[in-house]
Amino acid sequence: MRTHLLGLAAFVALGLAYPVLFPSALTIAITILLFVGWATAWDVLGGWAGQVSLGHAAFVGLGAYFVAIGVTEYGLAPWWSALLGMAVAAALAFAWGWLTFGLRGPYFTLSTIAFAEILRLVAINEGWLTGGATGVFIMTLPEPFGLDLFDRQTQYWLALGFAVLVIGIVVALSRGRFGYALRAVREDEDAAMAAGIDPKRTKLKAFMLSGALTALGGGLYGIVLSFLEPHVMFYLLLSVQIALTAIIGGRGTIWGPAAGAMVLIGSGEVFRTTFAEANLLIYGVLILVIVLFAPRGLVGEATRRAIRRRYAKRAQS
Amino acid sequence: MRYGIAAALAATTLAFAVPAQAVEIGVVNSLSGNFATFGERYRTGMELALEEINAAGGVDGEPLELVWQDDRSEAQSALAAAEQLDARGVPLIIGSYASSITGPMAQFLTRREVPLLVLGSADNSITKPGSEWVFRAKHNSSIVAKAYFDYFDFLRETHPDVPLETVGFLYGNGAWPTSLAETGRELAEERGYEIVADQSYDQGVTDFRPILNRFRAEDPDVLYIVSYAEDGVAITRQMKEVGLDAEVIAIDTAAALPSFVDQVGDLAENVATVVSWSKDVQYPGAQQLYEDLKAKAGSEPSFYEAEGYLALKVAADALQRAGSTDRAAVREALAATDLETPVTTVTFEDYDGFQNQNPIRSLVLQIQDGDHVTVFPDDLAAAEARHPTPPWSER
Repeated sequence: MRTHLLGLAAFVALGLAYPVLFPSALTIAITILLFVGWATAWDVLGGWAGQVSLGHAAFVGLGAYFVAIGVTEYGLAPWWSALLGMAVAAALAFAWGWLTFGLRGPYFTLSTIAFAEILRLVAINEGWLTGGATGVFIMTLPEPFGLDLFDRQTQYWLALGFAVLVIGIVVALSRGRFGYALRAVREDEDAAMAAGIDPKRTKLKAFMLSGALTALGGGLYGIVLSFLEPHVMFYLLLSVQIALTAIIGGRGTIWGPAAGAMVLIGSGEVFRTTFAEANLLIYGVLILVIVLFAPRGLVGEATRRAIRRRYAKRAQS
Repeated sequence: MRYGIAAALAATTLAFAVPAQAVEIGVVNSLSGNFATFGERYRTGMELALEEINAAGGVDGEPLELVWQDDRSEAQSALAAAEQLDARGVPLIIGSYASSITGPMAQFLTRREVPLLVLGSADNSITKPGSEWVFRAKHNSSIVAKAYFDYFDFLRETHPDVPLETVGFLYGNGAWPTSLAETGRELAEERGYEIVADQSYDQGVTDFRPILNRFRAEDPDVLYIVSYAEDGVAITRQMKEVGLDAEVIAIDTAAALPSFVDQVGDLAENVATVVSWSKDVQYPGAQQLYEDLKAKAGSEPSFYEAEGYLALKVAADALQRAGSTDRAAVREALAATDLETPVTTVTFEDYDGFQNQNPIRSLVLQIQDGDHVTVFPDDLAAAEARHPTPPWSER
């Protein structure tokens, strides 16, 4: 626990130093921080509870659309509409989980793809509500305490706050009763049930928490883009990217998803500026290499090696 | 090896020590990812324009340079690229193809007060309401839809014996097809066409026969179809299969590509499509531009290359007249643009809710004997429109 709090402090320190060191590369840092938050939130369900979702773009889109429509149509301040978006995300996660957590194995995963697709089609076809396929612009935002929410600097601090909040929640729950229940369900649902844990209830809670946190980041993402199109916001590729980030970093570890976001998004940006057209190819190769040599993810593999070394040392002495 | 590193270091120090006397323009273009095919075409056009500009003495006697940034066909990368170009101090940025990328960029650059010249995005929303920092020399959904209906009206007038009363809309549910269908619908009502069929489909659908059969039952005189490449090819083939006839078949975007004719062959005959430029348009220099683009691309060029060429020509002209690389001055110069190019004439105007939009004249091309031929407007046409389109059974 103490190491994780120290880690969190180091993360915050890094986050505080970044804008001073790289004042004109804030967009990429915001993207990384959003993915840190999303992948960590995804991992609550995908890693800790072992339920892989390929529909988390639905929550991103939901959060973004609540903020955009809230401010353009109803004059609702983004912090209220983000909260509303989180509540709706949790409610939808509850409803969806209620229907599908009876399913085991890959069926839940498949159903999450459908879930995001349904929201995408709603966003496209219900133009009166969402602005339809041609999208919606956020032109003005309120200025709380004189803060310009369109300013990259402001957005950076919000993104940092979002990432720290999500990691903090995971740190807290990793040692709590709920965190143990999640792992028990992941390892063996029947055994968990025998130990007095309700698997469906546990998974539902995880899904709701994961969805609501992802929607919070989505609201911020909407402000960063300030122009939303349903095809992009509910895109399957975004869902895959979120899941991939967590998996590459290490499922079910506290720092894995964050490490995954820094490595994947960070290297993606470096490749983009250095390798021109070939950048996606090299990005693909990087992912392959990581999957081949660190099948448990970067942090997962590192932890395993550290533990093995410790045992080896103990055995020798 | 060690000498190599030393030399490289020396070279970079030199590069910093002697600031190059070049005028830079930032370009955010889709060079990898989904839209790379289009990005490649835009780049060819811009490179040709760059060669011409520098051969003619550059901008104010200084060579022009392009600072390329790839957006990987996604908005976040485009925003990161725009931020870097802003920090580099470029006087102007050109970009990008998809509206989902150009929209966020336009928002960001407006706040940073950097002039943005739209490269490929045609969505109305980019310049409507737009901003004083965003300029578009190419067309938008309203202009394109109007070109189609002007053409239909023209056919009505010139062929009063062929009734054109009803229209059917078929379009993908992406941003561009939807917005083109919306503007088309308004025009149909305004100009007295009855909409007898109106259907959007989810991109990725491959079997259009159920939809086309329903259209056949409604028997529209005009088919107004907006589709990207593969969908357009599938729709054309299946139209023949189910025997969906119409006096006029217009397919936007898909039918404008040279590859469309290769893929559907004879079925492409008589299909009409709207573009911003064509090789046979009667503008001075258009023929030469076609030859040059063809040589540069090494294949049949399309309006994409021409639009890339146009964007850089407009940018260089504005920089020349601004006489400085100050962004406000460049913005003023862009707003005062009055330029003739082999692609089109350019002025930036505020009208109908648009801001800094070039009211470009769009062209209607018809596929005749396997070739794209300009048939409308009358004064720019290279040949007469073939009308009406014979039914499939008689071809």
